[in-house]
Amino acid sequence: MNKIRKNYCGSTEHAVSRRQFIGSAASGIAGASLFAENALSAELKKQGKSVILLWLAGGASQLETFDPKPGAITGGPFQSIQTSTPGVRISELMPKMAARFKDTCVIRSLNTKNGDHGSASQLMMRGRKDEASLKYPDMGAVLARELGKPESQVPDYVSFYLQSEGRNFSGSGFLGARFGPMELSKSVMPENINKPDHISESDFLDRMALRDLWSKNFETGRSSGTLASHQQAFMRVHGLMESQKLFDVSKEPQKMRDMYGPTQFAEQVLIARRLAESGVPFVRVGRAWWDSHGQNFETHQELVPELDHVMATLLTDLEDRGMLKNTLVVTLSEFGRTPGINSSLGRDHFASAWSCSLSGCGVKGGSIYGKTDEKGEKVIEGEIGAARLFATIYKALGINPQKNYYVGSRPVPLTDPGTEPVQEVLA
Amino acid sequence: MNQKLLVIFLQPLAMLALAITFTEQVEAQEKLLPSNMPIEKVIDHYIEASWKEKKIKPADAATDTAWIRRISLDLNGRIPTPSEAKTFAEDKDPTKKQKAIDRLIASPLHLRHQAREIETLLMNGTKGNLSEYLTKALNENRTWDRIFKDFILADETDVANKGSSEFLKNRVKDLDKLTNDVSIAFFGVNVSCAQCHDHPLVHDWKQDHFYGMKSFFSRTYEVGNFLAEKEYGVVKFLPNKGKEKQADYMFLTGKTVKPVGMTEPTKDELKKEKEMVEEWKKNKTQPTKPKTSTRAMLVEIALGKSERDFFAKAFVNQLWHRFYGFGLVMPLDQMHSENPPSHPELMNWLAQDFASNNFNIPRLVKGLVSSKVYGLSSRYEGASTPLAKDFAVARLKPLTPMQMGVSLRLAGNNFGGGATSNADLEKKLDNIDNGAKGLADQFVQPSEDFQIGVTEALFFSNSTKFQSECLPEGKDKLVTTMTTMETPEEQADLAVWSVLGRPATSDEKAVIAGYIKKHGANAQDASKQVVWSLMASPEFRFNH
Repeated sequence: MNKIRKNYCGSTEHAVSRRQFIGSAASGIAGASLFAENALSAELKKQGKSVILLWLAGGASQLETFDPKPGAITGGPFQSIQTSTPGVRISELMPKMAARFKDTCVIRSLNTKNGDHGSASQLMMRGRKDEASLKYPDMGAVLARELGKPESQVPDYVSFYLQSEGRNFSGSGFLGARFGPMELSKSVMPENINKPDHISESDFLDRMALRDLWSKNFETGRSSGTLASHQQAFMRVHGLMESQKLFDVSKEPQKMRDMYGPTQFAEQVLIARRLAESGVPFVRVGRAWWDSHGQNFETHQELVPELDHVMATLLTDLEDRGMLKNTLVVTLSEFGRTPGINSSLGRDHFASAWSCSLSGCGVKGGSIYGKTDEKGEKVIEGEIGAARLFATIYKALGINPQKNYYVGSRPVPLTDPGTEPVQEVLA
Repeated sequence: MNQKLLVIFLQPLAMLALAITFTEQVEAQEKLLPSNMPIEKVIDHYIEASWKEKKIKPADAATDTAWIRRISLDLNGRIPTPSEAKTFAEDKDPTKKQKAIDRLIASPLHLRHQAREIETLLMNGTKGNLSEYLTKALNENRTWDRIFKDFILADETDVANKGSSEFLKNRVKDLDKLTNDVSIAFFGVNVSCAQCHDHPLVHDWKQDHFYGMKSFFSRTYEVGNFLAEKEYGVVKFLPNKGKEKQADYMFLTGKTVKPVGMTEPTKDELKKEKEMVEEWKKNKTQPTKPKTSTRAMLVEIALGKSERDFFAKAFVNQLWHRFYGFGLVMPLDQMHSENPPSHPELMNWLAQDFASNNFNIPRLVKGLVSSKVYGLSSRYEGASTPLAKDFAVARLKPLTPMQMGVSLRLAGNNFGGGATSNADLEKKLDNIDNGAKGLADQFVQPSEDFQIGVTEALFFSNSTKFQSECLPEGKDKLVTTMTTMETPEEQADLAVWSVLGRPATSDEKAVIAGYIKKHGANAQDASKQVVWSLMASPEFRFNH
């Protein structure tokens, strides 16, 4: 039997009239509204909000992080500790986050129903599954679109992904290359961002001015969105090259670098903060090797304290700079890990009851949402899937999760039709 | 009218319609132009009539150099060489355009370009390589219905069809996707919405159509590296109202067939089948063909005289879109009665002409690019620019990755010096084409409302790959040849001819000459900067 896919069927809330549909389909301005701005979105862009996504590729264990079950048969060797919120406990591997829990909301009730690395990564980066004929943009592309400024001199979507595990699942889908990620997969410095040695600074600017002249000549009597994007892309080159200093961690005071620590992950998160501070709306820092089918506890003993330290440092740093109210820090994986411990002392893929966290902008800090049973095998309270998580994230940033993009004449909301944000998570 | 009927629910826009409505439409229309009229004359007739009716003043005709650049990109996937462009512009022969079209279609580059374009149309991001099959098929001038048949039957036991199973193989693991992709690529309809509910606008368009189409593929599966097809099988689905239902074998028009094997096989038959599959797997042999192939039945229905409208119109629309930058029906996957063509008679005439000439591809290609409408300028001087669907001004078409790769290499290698024989030119072009893949990979395949990203601009600005491949130094290379010229004005002229395929205006000559004089300390560097600025210009980036 064929499963009915409920994920892209309509809701009355976001209906468009038949007249509207036929009008836009027939007028041949398909997609034009994809890039149209209204006053509300323009206002949002001015607020300078950002998201830093700490992407734990391979699937971090909820039991060794945000939803510990000490004493249960599934609990493993680690204990839980009290956080700064009375009654809320997280894994003892996260003492620093426990101490500064006040800005964080942990969601313990994700049931995302997909335990395959590839398609689950796509799901948790987009908030939904691609359709056969429609590729959805991921969170970074949507936020680049919603929060980035068209004339911005900094990139609007940066993705650090130096490890190979779990790479290549992001993408801007139907939003196109304009909102695609600046991928940093070889080094923390973006490709082609530095001026080559064979041309002087003044020659570089001169030839750009010459190009600009040809461009203006060509634009006389011609107009198209693609033509405009070409011009815009070249206009942004110089500014982006200036922004290369943002990627240079040596520009940070040594004291600050010491605070974050010497690891690659820490360095990237520090760069992410530099980027957010300069107006980059979305930065993902990928941290791989969480896929602990064997030796789960050793793996987490090594990885979780680093995450704990870096995340807590980041939140404190953001707070000190007055940025936390406008910066949302998300820790997320493609799925969690099984409560059951396998014969290699590992935990396998598990998508039916796992956790993530949201901190800062728009979030009710110091709180927990949702609950799993005693062994962590299933969600018993507040179950949500990827769609509601994404709706909550967008809402926390002040973006209407049901805002429509138009693909041709078809309205496509930011999250699946009818998806409600989780109010309890929001400030 | 009931308010509810006025409201549609979000998803179902990319939807379908019925052939019945198409047929009615045809009958209701005034008589079409005679079938023996040349394609290009018919295009000009219908489009010009619509301008007259809407009081639209079309753009001027494109200049000769603009036209030869456009046609070279459209038929050979590359810009013209400076000597091709010059020769064409100077030619006084009134039939020169027709001659150029014939020459470009006869070039081996046409086959390659056509194969790439059709591969993009059919694969559209899905992995898989159709080039082996398509190159052979197009070289033999196979017709579009034959190509469709070859891809759907995927019978590689016939060596003539080697590589044809790539289309199905890469989709057979996801039959929903396969169903939808076939419907979009060959019939111009996106059925994905009918997967979960009936069409809210066209009452006759139901989930039955989606699952009906899916049925034809439901017996297909993979055995090792081969495709196999069962003797039995039906698709069942849960309608959004009512109980589980068995789908008919139903084409998009509603026409159904009843193949054998609509009942479940017995235990014995299943056991026997399992053993056979094991045997095929073990021996790595091609599975035996079924007595009744439901995929073959689909081909037969889709190409049947009363049902082939979808098939013919979809390809006409896709090809029209490729050459004119905008479909007669937009979006390309929404060819349904709620979304009629901008020029219904033209669409009907072209589809009938295509079908009655056995789906001959080169004939259609030649007709489409021979019209006056195709030859309009992309610049509009009038006050209000006509809409895309009026086809009164040529659309800007962003170059594909391969068009970019080949053309950049072509421009950087100076073909301006000295006339070359046709055979020599073809050989050089072949080399350029062969080496263009790496460069092409730096660019993104354009889609509707394509937005060029800053990654591309950074690549142009700072990449050493761009520098070495597009601005190479040495004998016969553009930037070096420029330095051997006597005056900066001559350098300007050579650069503009090589990169943009036209003479430099006097203003441009003055600007470039001024630039070269100012930066003359290193003549070759100055040349590079000038050539770079032209390559990075929108005039190069678009087919205009």
